[in-house]
Amino acid sequence: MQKAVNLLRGFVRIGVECPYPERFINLCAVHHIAFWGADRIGELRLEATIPARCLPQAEAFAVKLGGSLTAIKQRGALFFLERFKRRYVLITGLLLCIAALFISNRYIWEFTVEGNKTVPSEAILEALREIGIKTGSPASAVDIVDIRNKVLMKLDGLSWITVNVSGSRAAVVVRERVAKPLIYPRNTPVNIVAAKPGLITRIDALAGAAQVFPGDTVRKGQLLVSGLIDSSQVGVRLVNARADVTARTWTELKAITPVGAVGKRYTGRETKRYALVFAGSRVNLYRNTGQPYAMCDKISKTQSLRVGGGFSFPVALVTETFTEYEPVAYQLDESVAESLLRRELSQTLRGGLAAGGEILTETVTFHPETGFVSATLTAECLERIDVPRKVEIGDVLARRGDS
Amino acid sequence: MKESFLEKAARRMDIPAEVAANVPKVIIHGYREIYVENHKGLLEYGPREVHVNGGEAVLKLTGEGFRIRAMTGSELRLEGLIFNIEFIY
Repeated sequence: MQKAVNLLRGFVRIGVECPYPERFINLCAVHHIAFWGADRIGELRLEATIPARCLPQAEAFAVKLGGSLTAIKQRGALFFLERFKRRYVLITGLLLCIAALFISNRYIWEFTVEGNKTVPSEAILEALREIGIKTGSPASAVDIVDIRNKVLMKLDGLSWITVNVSGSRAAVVVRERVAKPLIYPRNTPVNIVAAKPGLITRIDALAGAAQVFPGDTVRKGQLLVSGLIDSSQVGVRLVNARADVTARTWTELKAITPVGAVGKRYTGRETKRYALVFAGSRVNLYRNTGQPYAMCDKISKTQSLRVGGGFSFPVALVTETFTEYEPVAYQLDESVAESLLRRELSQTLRGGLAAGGEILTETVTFHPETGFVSATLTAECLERIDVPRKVEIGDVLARRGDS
Repeated sequence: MKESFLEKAARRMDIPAEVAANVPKVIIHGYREIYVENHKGLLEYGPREVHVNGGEAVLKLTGEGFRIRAMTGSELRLEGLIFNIEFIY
Protein backbone atom coordinates (compact mmCIF):
# COMPACT_ATOMS: atom_id res chain seq x y z
CA MET A 1 0.00 0.00 0.00
CA GLN A 2 2.79 2.35 1.00
CA LYS A 3 4.57 1.50 -2.26
CA ALA A 4 1.49 2.46 -4.23
CA VAL A 5 1.20 5.77 -2.37
CA ASN A 6 4.88 6.48 -2.99
CA LEU A 7 4.50 5.71 -6.67
CA LEU A 8 1.52 8.02 -6.89
CA ARG A 9 3.25 10.86 -5.10
CA GLY A 10 6.59 10.28 -6.82
CA PHE A 11 10.01 9.62 -5.33
CA VAL A 12 13.61 10.35 -6.21
CA ARG A 13 16.75 8.28 -5.77
CA ILE A 14 19.41 10.78 -4.75
CA GLY A 15 23.17 10.68 -4.44
CA VAL A 16 24.71 12.98 -1.83
CA GLU A 17 28.36 13.80 -1.66
CA CYS A 18 29.53 15.72 1.38
CA PRO A 19 32.22 15.45 4.10
CA TYR A 20 29.90 13.85 6.66
CA PRO A 21 27.00 12.01 5.04
CA GLU A 22 25.72 11.04 8.52
CA ARG A 23 24.96 14.70 9.16
CA PHE A 24 22.84 14.79 6.05
CA ILE A 25 20.91 11.74 7.30
CA ASN A 26 20.39 13.35 10.72
CA LEU A 27 19.23 16.62 9.19
CA CYS A 28 16.70 14.81 7.03
CA ALA A 29 15.41 12.81 10.00
CA VAL A 30 15.07 15.89 12.21
CA HIS A 31 13.27 17.87 9.49
CA HIS A 32 10.81 15.04 8.84
CA ILE A 33 12.13 14.15 5.42
CA ALA A 34 11.19 10.50 5.18
CA PHE A 35 13.85 8.49 3.39
CA TRP A 36 14.45 4.84 2.80
CA GLY A 37 16.92 2.50 1.14
CA ALA A 38 19.92 4.55 2.30
CA ASP A 39 23.24 2.99 1.21
CA ARG A 40 26.70 4.24 2.05
CA ILE A 41 28.61 3.98 -1.23
CA GLY A 42 31.96 5.41 -0.24
CA GLU A 43 33.65 7.57 2.34
CA LEU A 44 31.86 10.71 1.15
CA ARG A 45 28.92 9.39 -0.80
CA LEU A 46 25.48 8.25 0.23
CA GLU A 47 22.50 7.16 -1.83
CA ALA A 48 18.92 7.21 -0.57
CA THR A 49 15.37 7.50 -1.78
CA ILE A 50 13.24 10.47 -0.74
CA PRO A 51 9.75 11.75 -1.69
CA ALA A 52 9.83 14.00 -4.77
CA ARG A 53 8.36 16.93 -2.89
CA CYS A 54 11.30 16.93 -0.41
CA LEU A 55 13.95 17.21 -3.12
CA PRO A 56 14.52 21.01 -2.90
CA GLN A 57 14.85 20.87 0.90
CA ALA A 58 17.26 17.92 0.73
CA GLU A 59 19.27 19.77 -1.90
CA ALA A 60 19.51 22.76 0.42
CA PHE A 61 20.80 20.53 3.25
CA ALA A 62 23.48 19.02 1.00
CA VAL A 63 24.65 22.49 0.00
CA LYS A 64 24.58 23.62 3.62
CA LEU A 65 26.88 20.71 4.53
CA GLY A 66 29.32 21.75 1.82
CA GLY A 67 28.39 18.99 -0.58
CA SER A 68 26.15 18.39 -3.54
CA LEU A 69 23.06 16.40 -4.36
CA THR A 70 22.25 14.68 -7.64
CA ALA A 71 19.00 13.04 -8.62
CA ILE A 72 19.83 9.58 -9.97
CA LYS A 73 16.38 8.27 -10.81
CA GLN A 74 12.90 9.76 -10.65
CA ARG A 75 9.82 7.63 -10.50
CA GLY A 76 6.12 8.09 -9.89
CA ALA A 77 2.94 9.36 -11.51
CA LEU A 78 4.09 12.96 -11.34
CA PHE A 79 7.25 12.33 -13.37
CA PHE A 80 5.38 10.05 -15.76
CA LEU A 81 2.88 12.81 -16.54
CA GLU A 82 5.62 15.39 -16.85
CA ARG A 83 6.94 13.47 -19.88
CA PHE A 84 3.82 14.45 -21.78
CA LYS A 85 4.13 18.12 -20.93
CA ARG A 86 5.22 19.13 -24.45
CA ARG A 87 3.11 16.63 -26.38
CA TYR A 88 0.33 19.04 -27.20
CA VAL A 89 -1.49 16.84 -29.74
CA LEU A 90 -1.65 13.97 -27.27
CA ILE A 91 -2.95 16.22 -24.50
CA THR A 92 -5.52 17.75 -26.87
CA GLY A 93 -6.63 14.27 -27.95
CA LEU A 94 -6.93 13.17 -24.35
CA LEU A 95 -8.96 16.24 -23.44
CA LEU A 96 -11.19 15.75 -26.48
CA CYS A 97 -11.67 12.12 -25.53
CA ILE A 98 -12.64 13.06 -21.97
CA ALA A 99 -15.01 15.72 -23.30
CA ALA A 100 -16.54 13.21 -25.75
CA LEU A 101 -16.96 10.71 -22.92
CA PHE A 102 -18.57 13.33 -20.74
CA ILE A 103 -20.95 14.57 -23.45
CA SER A 104 -21.68 11.11 -24.83
CA ASN A 105 -22.58 9.90 -21.35
CA ARG A 106 -25.57 12.24 -21.39
CA TYR A 107 -27.19 10.38 -24.31
CA ILE A 108 -28.62 6.90 -24.64
CA TRP A 109 -26.72 4.75 -27.09
CA GLU A 110 -27.92 1.31 -26.21
CA PHE A 111 -31.23 -0.26 -25.21
CA THR A 112 -31.83 -3.58 -23.54
CA VAL A 113 -35.28 -5.02 -22.95
CA GLU A 114 -36.00 -7.50 -20.20
CA GLY A 115 -39.04 -9.13 -18.69
CA ASN A 116 -40.92 -9.78 -21.95
CA LYS A 117 -41.95 -13.20 -23.25
CA THR A 118 -44.82 -12.67 -25.65
CA VAL A 119 -44.43 -9.01 -26.60
CA PRO A 120 -41.39 -8.72 -28.91
CA SER A 121 -38.55 -6.46 -27.85
CA GLU A 122 -38.74 -4.73 -31.25
CA ALA A 123 -42.36 -3.78 -30.61
CA ILE A 124 -41.45 -2.26 -27.23
CA LEU A 125 -38.52 -0.33 -28.73
CA GLU A 126 -40.72 0.83 -31.61
CA ALA A 127 -43.31 2.11 -29.14
CA LEU A 128 -40.56 3.96 -27.28
CA ARG A 129 -39.25 5.34 -30.58
CA GLU A 130 -42.70 6.67 -31.41
CA ILE A 131 -42.74 8.71 -28.21
CA GLY A 132 -39.23 10.03 -28.87
CA ILE A 133 -37.08 7.69 -26.78
CA LYS A 134 -34.56 6.23 -29.23
CA THR A 135 -30.83 5.77 -29.78
CA GLY A 136 -29.22 9.18 -29.37
CA SER A 137 -31.96 10.64 -27.18
CA PRO A 138 -30.73 12.67 -24.20
CA ALA A 139 -30.91 10.73 -20.95
CA SER A 140 -32.70 13.70 -19.39
CA ALA A 141 -35.62 13.14 -21.82
CA VAL A 142 -36.54 9.93 -20.02
CA ASP A 143 -39.66 10.70 -18.03
CA ILE A 144 -40.77 7.42 -16.50
CA VAL A 145 -44.36 8.49 -15.81
CA ASP A 146 -44.80 9.84 -19.34
CA ILE A 147 -43.31 6.69 -20.85
CA ARG A 148 -45.55 4.49 -18.73
CA ASN A 149 -48.65 6.45 -19.69
CA LYS A 150 -47.94 6.45 -23.41
CA VAL A 151 -46.33 3.05 -24.00
CA LEU A 152 -48.88 1.11 -21.95
CA MET A 153 -51.62 2.69 -24.07
CA LYS A 154 -49.86 1.53 -27.25
CA LEU A 155 -49.01 -2.01 -26.15
CA ASP A 156 -51.93 -3.96 -24.72
CA GLY A 157 -49.70 -6.87 -23.78
CA LEU A 158 -47.84 -4.87 -21.14
CA SER A 159 -49.02 -4.05 -17.66
CA TRP A 160 -45.96 -2.13 -16.44
CA ILE A 161 -42.84 -0.56 -17.91
CA THR A 162 -39.88 1.39 -16.64
CA VAL A 163 -36.65 2.63 -18.17
CA ASN A 164 -33.50 2.60 -16.02
CA VAL A 165 -30.79 4.79 -17.49
CA SER A 166 -27.29 3.90 -16.38
CA GLY A 167 -24.60 5.91 -18.12
CA SER A 168 -25.40 5.71 -21.80
CA ARG A 169 -27.34 2.46 -21.53
CA ALA A 170 -31.07 2.24 -20.98
CA ALA A 171 -32.55 -0.93 -19.53
CA VAL A 172 -36.22 -1.22 -20.41
CA VAL A 173 -37.90 -3.44 -17.84
CA VAL A 174 -41.43 -4.59 -18.57
CA ARG A 175 -44.07 -6.80 -17.01
CA GLU A 176 -46.54 -8.48 -19.29
CA ARG A 177 -50.28 -8.49 -18.77
CA VAL A 178 -51.68 -11.72 -17.40
CA ALA A 179 -54.98 -12.68 -19.05
CA LYS A 180 -57.69 -12.38 -16.44
CA PRO A 181 -59.84 -15.45 -15.85
CA LEU A 182 -63.47 -15.36 -16.87
CA ILE A 183 -65.12 -14.23 -13.66
CA TYR A 184 -68.56 -12.70 -13.61
CA PRO A 185 -69.59 -10.36 -10.78
CA ARG A 186 -71.52 -12.02 -7.97
CA ASN A 187 -74.72 -10.20 -8.90
CA THR A 188 -74.65 -11.40 -12.54
CA PRO A 189 -76.82 -14.45 -13.27
CA VAL A 190 -74.54 -17.19 -14.56
CA ASN A 191 -75.04 -20.80 -15.76
CA ILE A 192 -72.37 -23.46 -15.57
CA VAL A 193 -71.90 -25.33 -18.83
CA ALA A 194 -69.63 -28.15 -20.02
CA ALA A 195 -66.33 -27.09 -21.57
CA LYS A 196 -65.97 -30.46 -23.32
CA PRO A 197 -67.95 -33.69 -23.63
CA GLY A 198 -67.50 -36.29 -20.91
CA LEU A 199 -68.91 -38.56 -18.24
CA ILE A 200 -69.68 -36.79 -14.99
CA THR A 201 -67.92 -38.33 -12.01
CA ARG A 202 -68.55 -35.66 -9.40
CA ILE A 203 -70.63 -32.49 -9.16
CA ASP A 204 -70.46 -29.99 -6.30
CA ALA A 205 -73.06 -27.31 -6.97
CA LEU A 206 -72.24 -24.45 -4.58
CA ALA A 207 -74.95 -22.17 -6.00
CA GLY A 208 -77.65 -22.87 -8.60
CA ALA A 209 -79.62 -25.93 -9.56
CA ALA A 210 -77.70 -29.00 -10.75
CA GLN A 211 -79.00 -30.27 -14.06
CA VAL A 212 -76.82 -33.36 -14.35
CA PHE A 213 -75.63 -36.04 -11.94
CA PRO A 214 -72.65 -38.38 -11.60
CA GLY A 215 -72.88 -41.05 -14.27
CA ASP A 216 -74.51 -38.71 -16.84
CA THR A 217 -72.78 -38.09 -20.15
CA VAL A 218 -72.71 -34.50 -21.34
CA ARG A 219 -72.01 -32.71 -24.62
CA LYS A 220 -69.86 -29.68 -25.05
CA GLY A 221 -71.80 -26.58 -23.98
CA GLN A 222 -74.49 -28.58 -22.18
CA LEU A 223 -76.00 -26.92 -19.12
CA LEU A 224 -74.56 -28.46 -15.96
CA VAL A 225 -75.76 -26.11 -13.21
CA SER A 226 -78.48 -23.62 -13.94
CA GLY A 227 -78.51 -20.08 -12.65
CA LEU A 228 -82.30 -20.05 -12.87
CA ILE A 229 -83.94 -21.53 -9.80
CA ASP A 230 -87.66 -22.14 -9.64
CA SER A 231 -89.20 -20.60 -6.58
CA SER A 232 -92.72 -21.10 -5.31
CA GLN A 233 -92.77 -17.55 -3.92
CA VAL A 234 -91.29 -15.38 -6.70
CA GLY A 235 -91.31 -17.56 -9.77
CA VAL A 236 -87.87 -17.89 -11.40
CA ARG A 237 -84.97 -16.66 -9.29
CA LEU A 238 -81.66 -15.71 -10.98
CA VAL A 239 -78.42 -16.65 -9.23
CA ASN A 240 -74.72 -16.66 -9.94
CA ALA A 241 -74.23 -20.42 -10.27
CA ARG A 242 -70.99 -21.85 -8.93
CA ALA A 243 -69.93 -25.46 -9.16
CA ASP A 244 -66.98 -27.85 -9.40
CA VAL A 245 -67.84 -30.44 -12.01
CA THR A 246 -65.37 -33.26 -12.64
CA ALA A 247 -65.74 -35.61 -15.57
CA ARG A 248 -63.95 -38.34 -17.45
CA THR A 249 -63.17 -37.03 -20.89
CA TRP A 250 -61.89 -38.72 -24.02
CA THR A 251 -59.61 -36.92 -26.42
CA GLU A 252 -58.49 -37.96 -29.86
CA LEU A 253 -55.67 -36.09 -31.52
CA LYS A 254 -54.13 -36.67 -34.91
CA ALA A 255 -50.81 -35.64 -36.38
CA ILE A 256 -48.93 -36.35 -39.57
CA THR A 257 -45.33 -35.95 -40.69
CA PRO A 258 -43.60 -36.55 -44.03
CA VAL A 259 -40.91 -39.24 -43.99
CA GLY A 260 -38.75 -37.57 -46.59
CA ALA A 261 -37.10 -34.28 -45.67
CA VAL A 262 -34.56 -31.86 -47.01
CA GLY A 263 -31.56 -31.15 -44.81
CA LYS A 264 -28.42 -29.04 -45.06
CA ARG A 265 -24.88 -30.17 -45.63
CA TYR A 266 -22.36 -27.42 -45.04
CA THR A 267 -19.66 -27.17 -47.69
CA GLY A 268 -17.17 -25.48 -45.37
CA ARG A 269 -17.10 -22.23 -47.35
CA GLU A 270 -17.74 -19.15 -45.26
CA THR A 271 -17.73 -15.41 -45.91
CA LYS A 272 -17.67 -12.68 -43.30
CA ARG A 273 -18.83 -9.13 -43.79
CA TYR A 274 -18.45 -6.23 -41.43
CA ALA A 275 -20.42 -3.05 -40.93
CA LEU A 276 -20.29 -0.21 -38.44
CA VAL A 277 -23.35 1.34 -36.88
CA PHE A 278 -22.90 4.94 -35.72
CA ALA A 279 -25.80 6.11 -33.59
CA GLY A 280 -28.26 4.03 -35.62
CA SER A 281 -26.74 4.76 -39.06
CA ARG A 282 -25.13 1.76 -40.74
CA VAL A 283 -21.92 1.98 -42.76
CA ASN A 284 -21.09 -1.18 -44.70
CA LEU A 285 -17.42 -2.09 -44.86
CA TYR A 286 -17.93 -4.11 -48.04
CA ARG A 287 -18.91 -3.37 -51.63
CA ASN A 288 -20.93 -6.33 -52.85
CA THR A 289 -24.25 -6.30 -51.06
CA GLY A 290 -25.60 -9.43 -52.80
CA GLN A 291 -25.76 -12.87 -51.22
CA PRO A 292 -22.33 -14.53 -51.66
CA TYR A 293 -23.69 -18.06 -52.18
CA ALA A 294 -26.84 -19.40 -53.79
CA MET A 295 -27.78 -21.25 -50.62
CA CYS A 296 -26.39 -20.14 -47.30
CA ASP A 297 -27.15 -19.39 -43.68
CA LYS A 298 -26.65 -15.84 -42.50
CA ILE A 299 -25.78 -15.11 -38.89
CA SER A 300 -25.56 -11.48 -37.75
CA LYS A 301 -23.80 -10.49 -34.54
CA THR A 302 -23.77 -6.94 -33.20
CA GLN A 303 -21.12 -5.93 -30.70
CA SER A 304 -21.39 -2.56 -28.97
CA LEU A 305 -18.27 -0.79 -27.82
CA ARG A 306 -18.60 -0.67 -24.04
CA VAL A 307 -16.63 0.67 -21.12
CA GLY A 308 -17.41 -1.11 -17.87
CA GLY A 309 -21.03 -1.86 -17.16
CA GLY A 310 -22.61 1.54 -17.62
CA PHE A 311 -21.13 3.35 -20.58
CA SER A 312 -21.34 2.32 -24.20
CA PHE A 313 -20.11 4.26 -27.20
CA PRO A 314 -22.52 5.05 -30.04
CA VAL A 315 -20.57 2.62 -32.23
CA ALA A 316 -21.39 -1.01 -32.88
CA LEU A 317 -19.63 -3.56 -35.06
CA VAL A 318 -21.92 -5.84 -37.05
CA THR A 319 -20.42 -9.13 -38.20
CA GLU A 320 -22.40 -11.10 -40.79
CA THR A 321 -21.32 -14.67 -41.38
CA PHE A 322 -22.56 -16.45 -44.52
CA THR A 323 -22.11 -20.22 -44.40
CA GLU A 324 -22.75 -22.10 -47.64
CA TYR A 325 -24.71 -25.33 -47.65
CA GLU A 326 -26.08 -27.84 -50.11
CA PRO A 327 -29.61 -29.20 -49.83
CA VAL A 328 -29.59 -32.90 -49.09
CA ALA A 329 -32.68 -35.07 -49.30
CA TYR A 330 -32.87 -37.69 -46.61
CA GLN A 331 -35.32 -40.25 -45.43
CA LEU A 332 -36.57 -39.87 -41.87
CA ASP A 333 -36.23 -43.06 -39.89
CA GLU A 334 -39.65 -44.44 -38.95
CA SER A 335 -38.81 -44.64 -35.24
CA VAL A 336 -37.61 -41.02 -35.30
CA ALA A 337 -40.81 -39.91 -37.05
CA GLU A 338 -42.91 -41.80 -34.50
CA SER A 339 -40.98 -40.29 -31.63
CA LEU A 340 -41.52 -36.79 -33.06
CA LEU A 341 -45.24 -37.40 -33.49
CA ARG A 342 -45.61 -38.90 -30.02
CA ARG A 343 -43.90 -35.88 -28.45
CA GLU A 344 -45.97 -33.42 -30.46
CA LEU A 345 -49.29 -35.11 -29.61
CA SER A 346 -48.38 -35.49 -25.94
CA GLN A 347 -47.56 -31.79 -25.69
CA THR A 348 -50.84 -30.83 -27.36
CA LEU A 349 -52.79 -33.09 -24.98
CA ARG A 350 -51.17 -31.64 -21.88
CA GLY A 351 -51.64 -28.12 -23.18
CA GLY A 352 -55.39 -28.64 -23.54
CA LEU A 353 -55.88 -30.28 -20.15
CA ALA A 354 -57.70 -28.25 -17.50
CA ALA A 355 -55.67 -27.14 -14.47
CA GLY A 356 -55.41 -29.98 -11.94
CA GLY A 357 -56.56 -32.55 -14.47
CA GLU A 358 -54.89 -35.93 -14.81
CA ILE A 359 -54.38 -38.32 -17.70
CA LEU A 360 -55.76 -41.78 -16.92
CA THR A 361 -54.77 -43.57 -20.11
CA GLU A 362 -52.84 -42.47 -23.16
CA THR A 363 -52.49 -44.55 -26.32
CA VAL A 364 -50.77 -43.60 -29.55
CA THR A 365 -51.20 -45.61 -32.72
CA PHE A 366 -49.12 -45.05 -35.83
CA HIS A 367 -50.20 -45.53 -39.43
CA PRO A 368 -47.31 -45.60 -41.90
CA GLU A 369 -48.36 -44.48 -45.34
CA THR A 370 -46.48 -43.79 -48.53
CA GLY A 371 -44.25 -40.84 -47.80
CA PHE A 372 -45.99 -40.05 -44.51
CA VAL A 373 -46.45 -41.32 -41.00
CA SER A 374 -49.65 -40.40 -39.23
CA ALA A 375 -50.44 -40.93 -35.57
CA THR A 376 -53.59 -40.91 -33.49
CA LEU A 377 -53.52 -40.28 -29.77
CA THR A 378 -56.42 -41.43 -27.67
CA ALA A 379 -56.45 -40.34 -24.07
CA GLU A 380 -58.82 -40.66 -21.17
CA CYS A 381 -58.55 -37.88 -18.65
CA LEU A 382 -60.13 -36.84 -15.39
CA GLU A 383 -60.60 -33.10 -15.28
CA ARG A 384 -62.92 -30.25 -14.43
CA ILE A 385 -65.22 -29.29 -17.28
CA ASP A 386 -67.26 -26.48 -15.68
CA VAL A 387 -67.16 -23.04 -17.28
CA PRO A 388 -69.41 -20.11 -16.41
CA ARG A 389 -71.69 -18.61 -19.06
CA LYS A 390 -73.80 -15.54 -18.57
CA VAL A 391 -77.57 -16.14 -18.42
CA GLU A 392 -79.15 -14.64 -21.51
CA ILE A 393 -82.63 -13.20 -21.65
CA GLY A 394 -83.59 -16.06 -23.99
CA ASP A 395 -82.81 -18.58 -21.21
CA VAL A 396 -85.18 -16.77 -18.84
CA LEU A 397 -87.95 -16.52 -21.42
CA ALA A 398 -87.54 -20.18 -22.35
CA ARG A 399 -87.82 -21.17 -18.66
CA ARG A 400 -90.96 -19.03 -18.22
CA GLY A 401 -92.41 -20.61 -21.32
CA ASP A 402 -91.66 -24.09 -19.89
CA SER A 403 -93.24 -23.27 -16.55
CA MET B 1 27.02 4.77 34.49
CA LYS B 2 24.83 6.59 36.94
CA GLU B 3 21.08 6.04 36.65
CA SER B 4 19.21 9.31 36.06
CA PHE B 5 16.43 10.54 38.33
CA LEU B 6 13.77 9.95 35.66
CA GLU B 7 15.03 6.44 34.97
CA LYS B 8 14.96 5.69 38.67
CA ALA B 9 11.44 7.12 39.05
CA ALA B 10 10.20 5.18 36.01
CA ARG B 11 11.65 1.97 37.42
CA ARG B 12 10.04 2.56 40.83
CA MET B 13 6.62 3.31 39.27
CA ASP B 14 6.80 0.46 36.76
CA ILE B 15 6.65 2.88 33.81
CA PRO B 16 8.63 1.97 30.67
CA ALA B 17 11.89 3.90 30.81
CA GLU B 18 11.79 4.82 27.11
CA VAL B 19 8.51 6.64 27.76
CA ALA B 20 9.41 8.45 30.95
CA ALA B 21 13.14 9.03 30.59
CA ASN B 22 13.38 9.11 26.80
CA VAL B 23 16.07 6.48 26.76
CA PRO B 24 16.56 4.45 23.58
CA LYS B 25 14.56 1.33 23.00
CA VAL B 26 16.26 -1.31 20.84
CA ILE B 27 14.39 -4.16 19.23
CA ILE B 28 16.19 -6.83 17.23
CA HIS B 29 14.20 -8.89 14.75
CA GLY B 30 16.10 -12.11 14.12
CA TYR B 31 19.65 -11.51 12.93
CA ARG B 32 19.11 -9.09 10.11
CA GLU B 33 16.96 -6.25 11.36
CA ILE B 34 17.27 -3.81 14.20
CA TYR B 35 14.84 -1.11 15.29
CA VAL B 36 15.94 1.82 17.48
CA GLU B 37 13.43 4.17 19.05
CA ASN B 38 14.30 7.49 20.75
CA HIS B 39 17.66 7.81 19.03
CA LYS B 40 19.46 11.13 18.79
CA GLY B 41 20.87 10.70 15.32
CA LEU B 42 23.59 8.77 13.55
CA LEU B 43 27.21 9.38 14.44
CA GLU B 44 28.68 7.06 11.91
CA TYR B 45 27.13 5.06 9.16
CA GLY B 46 28.74 2.48 6.93
CA PRO B 47 27.98 -0.97 5.54
CA ARG B 48 30.02 -2.68 8.28
CA GLU B 49 29.63 -0.36 11.25
CA VAL B 50 26.91 1.96 12.50
CA HIS B 51 27.08 4.24 15.52
CA VAL B 52 23.73 5.45 16.81
CA ASN B 53 23.56 8.28 19.31
CA GLY B 54 21.39 7.13 22.20
CA GLY B 55 21.83 10.24 24.36
CA GLU B 56 23.88 9.06 27.30
CA ALA B 57 25.36 6.11 25.44
CA VAL B 58 26.33 5.25 21.89
CA LEU B 59 24.96 2.10 20.34
CA LYS B 60 27.68 0.52 18.23
CA LEU B 61 26.56 -2.08 15.70
CA THR B 62 28.96 -4.18 13.70
CA GLY B 63 27.99 -6.50 10.94
CA GLU B 64 27.74 -6.70 7.20
CA GLY B 65 25.68 -4.97 4.52
CA PHE B 66 24.05 -2.38 6.78
CA ARG B 67 21.41 -0.32 5.10
CA ILE B 68 18.90 2.20 6.48
CA ARG B 69 15.46 0.95 5.60
CA ALA B 70 13.71 3.98 7.09
CA MET B 71 14.54 6.79 9.46
CA THR B 72 12.65 9.58 11.17
CA GLY B 73 13.60 12.01 13.94
CA SER B 74 13.06 9.38 16.66
CA GLU B 75 12.97 6.03 14.89
CA LEU B 76 15.55 4.12 12.92
CA ARG B 77 15.17 0.82 11.12
CA LEU B 78 18.36 -0.82 9.94
CA GLU B 79 18.87 -4.03 8.03
CA GLY B 80 21.99 -6.10 7.57
CA LEU B 81 23.64 -9.11 9.14
CA ILE B 82 24.34 -8.20 12.79
CA PHE B 83 27.51 -9.54 14.40
CA ASN B 84 27.83 -7.43 17.51
CA ILE B 85 25.86 -4.88 19.53
CA GLU B 86 27.80 -2.74 21.94
CA PHE B 87 26.94 0.17 24.21
CA ILE B 88 29.66 2.77 24.67
CA TYR B 89 29.18 4.99 27.71
